[in-house]
Amino acid sequence: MFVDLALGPLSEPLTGRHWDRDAVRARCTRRLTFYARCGVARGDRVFLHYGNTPEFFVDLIALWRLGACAIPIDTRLTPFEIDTLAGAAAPRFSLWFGAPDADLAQRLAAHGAAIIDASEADTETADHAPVGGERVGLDQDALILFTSGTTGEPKGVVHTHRSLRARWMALRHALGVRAYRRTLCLLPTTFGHGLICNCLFPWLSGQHLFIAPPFKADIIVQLGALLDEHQITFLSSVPTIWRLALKTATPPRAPRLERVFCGSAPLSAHLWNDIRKWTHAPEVWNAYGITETGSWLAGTSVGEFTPEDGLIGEPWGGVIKITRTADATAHLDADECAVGESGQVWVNTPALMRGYLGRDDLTDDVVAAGWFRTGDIGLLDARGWLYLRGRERDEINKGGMKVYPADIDAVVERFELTVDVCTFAIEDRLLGEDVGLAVVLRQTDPPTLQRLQDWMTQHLARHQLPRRWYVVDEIPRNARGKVNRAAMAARCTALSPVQLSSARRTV
Amino acid sequence: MRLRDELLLFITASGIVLPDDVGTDTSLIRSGLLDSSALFELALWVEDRVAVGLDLTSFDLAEEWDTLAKLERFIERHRRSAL
Repeated sequence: MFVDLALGPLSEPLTGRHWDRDAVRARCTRRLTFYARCGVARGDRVFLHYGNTPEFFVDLIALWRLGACAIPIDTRLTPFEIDTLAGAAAPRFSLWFGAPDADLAQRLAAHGAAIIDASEADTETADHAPVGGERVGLDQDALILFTSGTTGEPKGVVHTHRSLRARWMALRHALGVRAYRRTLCLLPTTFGHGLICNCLFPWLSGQHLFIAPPFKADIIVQLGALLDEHQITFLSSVPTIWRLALKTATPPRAPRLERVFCGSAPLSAHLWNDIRKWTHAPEVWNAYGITETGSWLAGTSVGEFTPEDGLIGEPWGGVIKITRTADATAHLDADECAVGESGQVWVNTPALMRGYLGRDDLTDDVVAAGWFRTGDIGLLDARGWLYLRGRERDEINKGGMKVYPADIDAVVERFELTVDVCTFAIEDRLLGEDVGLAVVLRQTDPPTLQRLQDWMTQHLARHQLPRRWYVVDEIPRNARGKVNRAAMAARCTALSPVQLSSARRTV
Repeated sequence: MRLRDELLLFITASGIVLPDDVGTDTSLIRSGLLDSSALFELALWVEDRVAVGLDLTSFDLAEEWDTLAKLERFIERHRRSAL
């Protein structure tokens, strides 16, 4: 199952907890035995409602050894969104530290999920004979990561053990493992970038993984000290983390970083150079990855290079093609772009997902004869290096976290006084993009606006909440009736946003 | 408008949902209420108010800005020293 058939040590800098390899192995066995007694078995889908802890990683291995498929759930999601995901994934078990609130437990039970308190796994005693697990087939489902649709039609990326292993082997071949021997993760373990690549690639190669809570501001302002104290050699990140760190954190005193990745959002040449100066790392690379391809797919592992806006580099364990067509049914070879010509970025990799959970229609829309349409626009230069020039995917890239307009539209549409709605990207100094929203309402009095704000807060996770929202008379649509998000965003720049929650609060 | 109300207005306008019982001594940073993007925006906002070339790496920002009361004191102190 593992790249080196070896699990590395796990440490949690904030609590000081440290499990060496023997402790990790022992806990895997103990927790596997506990989950087996709970009835977890081959083929079960299991929600994990916690992440970024040593227990999460050990549980992942325990579930895989039992033949189950793990589904990490973002802890920021609302009960409504968890209910939606459970409806789509039909998990047989739902793992929590402690217990969910009664209402959510009831909703999960209605979907057939049994609640397990994962904290009890540590109380497993020697009274029960350890369970060894079973032989896991490479084509069994291993991991499902939901990328969108948490409020409506969930899109779950299904990876098998084969596709995950292909990603890790490709990375090992392209990047080696030496630079990853003390790896820090500051990213959420519910996303491909944080989980599959930043964490699992080094850890399953026997390297030491240091786990911190994701995007926690007080950690980032102390990043230099954290790197020093734990002698970190590698971390991956997103531009947001670096903008805050460069502004507020003292650089490491004794730089030991050997390699730094930045990904999930466009990295400007300016920020790239600033990261190089701050970290003193010999290798600062822009990494390009997509959950569907097991994340890290290409990067600047190309020897000497000068940072440039949009520069990605060479593929890791795959082939990249640029075409003029976005049609998955068209013959790709017939429409390939010339060197330097921008077009659709397609990828062929053994690390490609099995498909979207229960959505063959969506899978067929982006996969053709093993080629995956990324939704990005880019070009290949004469050296075969990839440059990104834009994207066609309908998403808001909020500092590396992807927010899908349709998810927010779906929630606001259900508000009883909504006539029409349009979610769009707004520019943000730190994040690059944030969430904007325009809504047509049957009533626009202050109590109605407050009720809509409360409705959104109740149904949307914090990172999905609109940063600014506007009441408008109409939503622009194109000739086919499709919402024109760009036109709406442009129109709203001349309007004043609704500000309710701030106006009613004083201390 | 009082400085602390300006601060509150700014924080909530940044999309941060504060608890109903937020007080002047509620932890904002160490508790995780302010995430990395909100803290970055706050840093720019404080720089605007203080109007001096603040070196934000020269003090423990997570400690000195952790509550509304501490933030208020920080801004007032630096405003005075800038006069």
